[in-house]
Formats: sequence, C-alpha cells, structure tokens
Amino acid sequence: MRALVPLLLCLGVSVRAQSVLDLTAETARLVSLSGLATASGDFAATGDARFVQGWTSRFDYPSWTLQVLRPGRVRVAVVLSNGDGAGGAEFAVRIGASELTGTVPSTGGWRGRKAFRVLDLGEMELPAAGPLRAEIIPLRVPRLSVMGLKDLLLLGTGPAPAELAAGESAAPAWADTPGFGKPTGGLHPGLAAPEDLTPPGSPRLRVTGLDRMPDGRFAVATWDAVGSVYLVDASKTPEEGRFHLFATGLAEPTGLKVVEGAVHVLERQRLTRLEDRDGDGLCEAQVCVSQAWPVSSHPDENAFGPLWREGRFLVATGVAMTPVGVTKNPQVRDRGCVLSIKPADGSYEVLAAGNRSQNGLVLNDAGDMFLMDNQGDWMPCSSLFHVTPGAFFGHRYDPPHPLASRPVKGPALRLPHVELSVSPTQPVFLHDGPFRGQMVFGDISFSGLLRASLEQVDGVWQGVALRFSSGLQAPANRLLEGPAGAILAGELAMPTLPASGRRDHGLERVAWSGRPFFDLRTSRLMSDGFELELTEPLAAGLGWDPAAYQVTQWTYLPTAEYGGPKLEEESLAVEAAAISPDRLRISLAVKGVREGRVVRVALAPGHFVSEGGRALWTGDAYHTVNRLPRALPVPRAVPPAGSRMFSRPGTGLAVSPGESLFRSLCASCHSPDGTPMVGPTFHNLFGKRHFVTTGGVRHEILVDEAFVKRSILQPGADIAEGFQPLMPELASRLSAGQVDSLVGFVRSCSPAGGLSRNLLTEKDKREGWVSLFDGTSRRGWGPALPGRAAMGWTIRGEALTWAGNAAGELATETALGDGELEFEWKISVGGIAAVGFAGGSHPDLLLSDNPATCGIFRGQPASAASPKTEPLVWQRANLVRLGGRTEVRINGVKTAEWSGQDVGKQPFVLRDESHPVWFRGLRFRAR
Amino acid sequence: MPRPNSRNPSPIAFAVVTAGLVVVAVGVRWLRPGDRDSSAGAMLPAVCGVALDTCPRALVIRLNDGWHVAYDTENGRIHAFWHQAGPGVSFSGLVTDGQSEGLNRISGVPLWSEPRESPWKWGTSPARHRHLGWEQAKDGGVRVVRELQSPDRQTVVRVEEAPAREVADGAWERSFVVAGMVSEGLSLDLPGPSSVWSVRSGPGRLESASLVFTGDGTVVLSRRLP
Repeated sequence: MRALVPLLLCLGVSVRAQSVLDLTAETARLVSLSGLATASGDFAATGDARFVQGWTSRFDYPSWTLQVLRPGRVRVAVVLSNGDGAGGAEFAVRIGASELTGTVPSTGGWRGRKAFRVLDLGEMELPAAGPLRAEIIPLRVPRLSVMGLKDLLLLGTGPAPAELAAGESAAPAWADTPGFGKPTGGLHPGLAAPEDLTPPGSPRLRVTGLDRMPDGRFAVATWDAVGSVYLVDASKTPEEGRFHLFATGLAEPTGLKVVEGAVHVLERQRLTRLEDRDGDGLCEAQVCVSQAWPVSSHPDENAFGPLWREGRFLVATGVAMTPVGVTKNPQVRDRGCVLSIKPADGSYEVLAAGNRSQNGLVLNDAGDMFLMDNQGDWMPCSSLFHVTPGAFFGHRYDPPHPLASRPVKGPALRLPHVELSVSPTQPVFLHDGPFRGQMVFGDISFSGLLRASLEQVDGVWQGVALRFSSGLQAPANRLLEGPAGAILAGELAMPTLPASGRRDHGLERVAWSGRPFFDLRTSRLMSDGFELELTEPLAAGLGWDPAAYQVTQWTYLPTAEYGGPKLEEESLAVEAAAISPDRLRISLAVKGVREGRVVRVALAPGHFVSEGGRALWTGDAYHTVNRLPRALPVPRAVPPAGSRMFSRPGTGLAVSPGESLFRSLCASCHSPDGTPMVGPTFHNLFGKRHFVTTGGVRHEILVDEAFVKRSILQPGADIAEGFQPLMPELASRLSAGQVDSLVGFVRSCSPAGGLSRNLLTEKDKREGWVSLFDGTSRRGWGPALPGRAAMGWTIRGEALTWAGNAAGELATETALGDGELEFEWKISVGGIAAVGFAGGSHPDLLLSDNPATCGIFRGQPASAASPKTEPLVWQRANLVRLGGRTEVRINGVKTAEWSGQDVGKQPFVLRDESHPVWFRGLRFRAR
Repeated sequence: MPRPNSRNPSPIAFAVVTAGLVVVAVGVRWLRPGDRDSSAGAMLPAVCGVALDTCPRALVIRLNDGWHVAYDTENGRIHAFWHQAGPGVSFSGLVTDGQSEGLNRISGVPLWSEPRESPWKWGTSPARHRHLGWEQAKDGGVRVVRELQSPDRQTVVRVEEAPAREVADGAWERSFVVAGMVSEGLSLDLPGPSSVWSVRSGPGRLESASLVFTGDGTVVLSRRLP
C-alpha cells in the first residue's frame, strides 16, 4: 500500500486503505485465447515477475476476481508501460457489467521505474455486493504490443465509495485450519450446547457401556475396578435421583446391551445378564451367559460389544499387547476374533478373525455388522470393517488363527492415523437429524465426534469419513442415538492415551439446535470423481474453480510393524468443478482414482461460503475406495458468468470452446485418446463405420458430423453396439453454436480418420500421396523469399506453428504443380492466416475462425457455404489444382473456386498474417 | 475364629481352613451389591468379578470379618481363600492405576486353594462345567451357580454352592444345592485326607477323597477341627 501512495497521489485522490484495491500483474489470471500463453510463453508474467510483458494478442487478457464488500463508485486506473513509440493500443477495463475504455500512451520504454505511468480511466459504479471478475480486454492493437501491465488500481470514491477485497483472487491458502486438515475448532455450529448429565463428584462415570432401557432410562456401565451399572433417568436432577446404582462388581465392563428388557454386560472375560428378580430396582443375580472363549490374565485381553442379532450375541475379542501396543506372542486361541455366542448354552462360533482392538461394534438397519479396529501392528491405521462369516481382516499372531490362511478382507473405511483419528470408538447410525443415515463415532484421543457415510458398490462396503465436532468435555467412548438425531455420549479417557478434554469421564447429550449451518453433508465416489453434498446452498459463483480443491490418494501396507505410513501418495488433478443448479452439490471430475486407495478430497480453507454467509465448517472427505462405481459419472456444467476463480499467475486457458465443453460434459464417459470408458472413445472416431441400433433395428453407420450431432441432440436415437444407452440429454443445455463446437472437438480427435496426417500409410502411398511435413522438423521447408528468414515458425506438437512476434513466410523447397493438396490447420481466436503459391498470380487462400471469410481467396467475396470453423480446433483443407483452375474445400465443404492463368509448378507457401496458426498433415499428390 | 497372621499363617489356622471350607450363609453379614465395606476402606463390593494374575475369571466374594474367597469360574474351583482386613484385592492395571501391564492380585496370603484343574468328575471322567453366575437370596446369602454335565451330555445337573461358613462348633461348612440328578455319577474331589471330611446332611457320601452326590437336595459338607 505504501508503494502505491505516490501513484494514488498522481490521481489526486485521498488515500483510504480500506477503499483501495491493488490488483497486481503477479496475481492476475492470464487468459490466452490465442494459445500463445502456453504455446510460447510470451504472454506471461514470469520473465519479469513485476509486470505482464510480451502482451501482443488482442485475444489475450489478464483477469482477476474480486469481492465487492459494499456497492458504490470506484475509480479505475491502470499502471502500464509502452515502448512502441506511439502506443495506441485501445483497451477496456471490465468489472462485472461495468466498463471503462482507454488508450495506451507511449511511456518511453517497457521496463524500469520511469517507464510506468498511471492511466486514470475514470469512475464506474459497482451496483451490487458479491464476487466479480475484473478484466483488461484489448480492443485494438495497431502496433506490436498491447502494454506492459503492472497494476489495475480500484479506488472507492465519491460519497458512497465501493469497498472491495481481492481475497478470492489469491491462490487458495492450504494451511491446515480447524475442520480443514485438523480437528474442528469447537462444537458443531448446528448443535446446541451439550447437556451435561455427568453427576457432580460421585459417581465417576467412565463409560464403557450404554444402552436404553424399555422405560426410557439409560443403562450405563462404568469402567473401574468394581465395574458398575447405573440406570440414568435424564428427566430428573441428580438430587431427584437421576442416577440409580443397579449393579456392581462387574469385571471391567466394556460393553452393555439391553436385550429383551434385560441388561447384558460384557465383562472382560464373560458375558453377563443382570437380573432384578424381586423388582426392588437392584440386581440380585448376575447370570453368566457365556465365558466360553479362551482368556489369559493379560490386562489387554478386552472383549468388545455385545451386539444382538438373530438370537445371538456378537462379541469381539481383543489381543494381548505389550505396553507399547505390539501384539504379544503367543496368544491364546480366538483372540482378535468376532464371536457369535449362543445364549442357550454359552457356546460360540468364530465369525471372523484378524482384528486387534475392536473398541466399537455396530449393526446397521439391515443387520450388517461393522467393527472399528484400532491402529497398531498389521493395522496401518484405524479402520472400520464389515464383518462377514469367515472373513480374515489381516491382524496376525502366533500360533496363527485358522482363518489367517484366507485372503485378507480390507476395511470399508480407513481413518488416517492422527490426521483424522487415533483411537476410534463405538459408532452409531443416525436415523434422524441433518446427518440421517450416517454413522457417528468418537475417538479416545479427542473430545469430539467424527462422521462417516457408507455405501455398497458391487456388494463391497466402502465409504467416506468426515470430521464432525469437538467441544465435548471428554472423549466419547460409547454413543447412543436419541430422539431427533440427538446423541448421547458416554465418555472415557484412557490413562495411556493422549486426550483433549476437561475430564476423563462423563455423560453428555448433544442435540440439534435448529440453527442453520454450512457443512459437508457427505461426499460420494463417482465413476470419474466425487460429488460433495452441502447442507446449505453455496454462495453464487463459488466452487467452480478446480483450484479450490485438492485431491490426494495413497495406500497402506499392513505389516508386523506398528502402524504404517502412507504409501504411493500422489496428487490427482481436479479437471473440472461444477455446482448443481440448487448449489447444494459440488461435482469434481478427477481422473486416476484407484481402487485400494484412500482418497482425501480437500476444500480450500476460507473459500467456501454459503448463500447465507456462513463459512464451511469442515472441508475434508476421506474416501476409502474399494470399488469404483461404474456408469456413475459426475454431472458436469459450464461455469456461469461471474464465477469466482483463483488466480494462476503465468498460466492461460489455451482451450477451445469445444474442448472446454468436452471437459465439462463429455469427459466422464468418453476419452479423447482411446482410453476405454463407459462411452465410445472420440479418438479416430470420425470416418469409422459402426453398428448401431436405431428404433430396434441394427444397421451400420459412418461416423460423420451429422451422426455426432444427432448423438448429442438425440442421445437415445442411435445406440452404439457394445455400449449402454447412458448418454444424457444435452440439447436443452447447449446452444447451436456450442453443439457445433463440440462436434468440432470430436472431429479434432480423429486425425487418422480425417484426411490428413503427418505420416502416410501404405494405402496413402499407393494412392500417390507425398508428405510435405514430417511432423518433427522444417525439413523440406524454407523462407518464401530468398535471403529472408522465416521468422516465428517452429514445430510444436507435431505441427508447423507460427507463434512469434515477427512476420514470416514458410514455403516448400519443392515446387508443386497440378495436383491435390491436403492439410489440417488450426487458428487462434479471431486469427487469420493464408496459404498460397510463391510468385505468380494465384491468390492466397484465407484461413480463419470466421466461417464467412474462411476458405475464400484473398479479395473474393465471402463464401455462401459455411465450413463451420472453430478457433483452436483442427480443421481440414483440400485444394485441387488442375491447369488454371483451383477448387477449395474446408472440412469437406466447397468454399471457393478460382480460374486463371496456369502458373505451373510453384512452392507452396504458409503465411502467418500475424496470428498464431498451426499446420499439420501437409501432403500432396500430383495429377 | 482363628485370626491367622496374614504374612505367616499358623499351621493350625491353615489346617482349620483347608479342612473346613465353608458354607451356608446363615448368620453371615452379607453385603448387598453396591454396599461398601467401610472397614475395608476400599471399593470392593460383596461380590466382584476380577481378573486375578493366575485366575483371569475370578469371582471374589467377601465374607464376614475380613475373609475372602475367590472362585475360579472357568474351572468351577475355589482359587483362594484368604483373610485380609483391607479390600482383599490389590488392583493394578489400566482400569485403576494406568499400568498397562499391571495385574490384579489377592491382597494377603492364601490359606487354601484347590488344584488348578476342575475338581468335578462324572464317574472317573471330568464333568463338563459351565459357570452360570451368582445370585443373592432374600436372606442376603450368595450362591455361586454352575451346571455340570455328564460327558455324554445326557445328564445336566445344577449345583448352587454357598461359600464357606464358620459354624458355632468351630467347623467350616460348605453347602451344595443339587438338582437334576437322575443317577449317581457326579462327584467333587476334596483336598486333603477324606477322614477329616464328613457329610453333615443331604444326599451325598464320601468316597476316598471325593464327595459323591447321590440325588437332588442340599448337601452340607463339614470339616471338623482336629
């Protein structure tokens, strides 16, 4: 700001820090429709990071996003340089719908402090708060360059000055903040203050068992030397008798389940039913349901559960460990197992094996059993397993369990150690509230809760884990769902584990307050990315920029070592982001997601704000990918005008409209490069014959423009053989021009199916074709005029490319006579180029992205036939020259014909016309 | 009642206890579940499941006047019988003092215990034993309940055992309420010479060093002082 003061004083404005916004060249997003940004790097701020230089094309422009905090008037100035001598480039500064224009003066130089001047453009009105895009658009560039750009200054002015911020234009800050890479910063904003049911003083409720009695009271088992069970009437105060001691003398109870009205407590070594036989409210009998499983005296041999399913108790047995958590060997039999206990005789069957310390068992409504195992040896991170008969989950000891010879069944959910969870506890499925259908669980290491959504793909369970809330008094060890999605948390801190909280025990109830909140509701794995669901609509314009997301994936390798690092960690590119019309869902197109991986989808901290102005509470989704869903593509959409984008200094967009549409709408099902996907690949699609079914009739078609267009507009009309009819309806979402753009892109994916290519096939050779360009060098080409260099011509992407600042003409070294000439060409946005023959009277053929002037000879009127050209998309050209007559076709459409004097053999010339142009597949056959 | 030194019990006291072992709860001051023995100064209930160092499935029952008995519920045997004026069990482990390898031990010196293997026999074979828990009668007496099966599982006998009781004449009694007997076959091995044992009442008889149950009913076993 201090550096700007002299500049501001030049403008004669009073300087108020909060009303000045300096949009620097370094933070600009450089949009390059000419393709120069990525083709040559000329239009970039990287050469001198202080200003944009080498800005020569009127199809390139810098862009910023900004936030109008308070509507009002703003004064606009540009800090620029120009060493062209006379300057003269005309430009517009557009902010939203407002615009001011100016002409670049000559400043006497491009670089150096004295070269830059402040050009005051005047004032404009910014009528509404919210995100806007600011752009400097060249209107006319009469000389070499537009300008050297240093700053776009916006100054709030007048009696109602606008207040602006550039926060959204900066690159996202990915530092961990609460809820984003680290635990949440407190109680979830949708929850009311927890109701603390913990008795003051005594008893000290270190809760290891929790369930609801038929009369509505809670049964609570406590973990202490003389384990007790309390019946808790939450409607009473402690003085009124909220806590009633029902039983005591249980051996380190680790779980409690009310079955058929009776409290069942899982002690460390037995399953016990508590009976009040005389109705006096006290337990007079502790009936041993089972103690059939082997135990030793090791203090870690806990048992977890129980669950009750189909007349059987389900109990998990933990293994004996050393003080540092390593499995002791040998173990007694059937440790680390899930047991199915028959109450009638106490006998058990081993349901599954291969676990370590399963402090959390749960059934879903369908009766599927899940258990939460803790990180340690053979458990690289804490994980949730779906328990099926005969499953082995990977934890090993000596002597090996009989099930250990089976293939390891991976978890449904992995919880990255420390990053997300340390010692997860008992989950509970919610049947009500904002997160209905999800699983909530606690963690012994912190006083809060986590969430998870589970799904089945191809019969295999997997899911996503999300952060939920902090702010409890102690770690939640046992959970019970209350009415309306409320959660009763029985709390316990282990003396050997780090825990954050005010105490090591307790009983708290959290309920939804009814206040709105903005959070990730869930995230779903799709065939080609993720769909994130929000609890409130996202503010308009947010979320469209892929830079607002980071996706990483990794795997784990279970070993005998304690825990395990992330392996093969890699970042995945977010190719596109789209927001649903109701702004409640974010679709991310992500390629490269692999099965057997944990994928973290992270949202940029501070970027996501709801329609109601609330900041996003959590921004991480940890997916466990066991099976990639098929035929479930992410919805795609084109970003609307005004979408907020992060800056990407030094990068541009060099993407054609057709390719942009492809990325947004098609890339989830169709590949451009032959990669097999749900739909047919676009690679070499044109010109091929395929069988399709139309109206139930199978027949063969030739893929051409008409067929592709019909496939887009009438997706169900022709069903390609070998593919499912999954093509969505697009007609209502695309304009006619966009359809043509898309068809053009599809066509550009078919170089071999088109008429030209750099390399000739044997068939081509038999037909007499001769290649004029080998795709890798200018061999066979030289300056059109002897003694003059062919400036600006290079080989890029197997194409002869002009992308320089100096004019140049390139000609074949071989003179061509009568015959047929074919090539592919591509032009920048608004660009024009020409081809012709050196010397003589044969006019040049013009190539442009304007169908009216493309494919005509210079000086001739516009063609009536539209060749439907697109900028930055490969087009086809065909010239047949016989005697004094030349006929031209562009993309198969005859566009021009010329008759005149036969000029004989002449070199073929490529002329740049000062616009970037690309040629490939140049070939000739004599006639 | 003898008051053996907890560190160095007298031979007389040892003999009394081993000879007698207990029963019938009449006259004993039983504690309700949840009651605390203020004299013990600790949180040990009258009946308490405990994982002891060499007996992971112990059920410790506090008797009167500082006497304790620990049943090994896995094998249906008495693991230890001891006197301790304090809480009777020294707790150590994560649950109490945060020691991850700590083990609970009886506090005091065991005066008597039965062999490690199950003392219950069916004929000459081990009887199948199943612990069924414990219950407290209206009179406050605690009974340890177990089920014993013949090896062929055709006969199932329920045996409720009341822990030791010192009777007025100085002998120790131990009683068993037996139900389900259809024929003889169930027996309980007794430690020490059979000559010191006697069946005071009920359907049972002594054979060698075993108590043979002969039918349903309450068997009172007694060991008189020498």
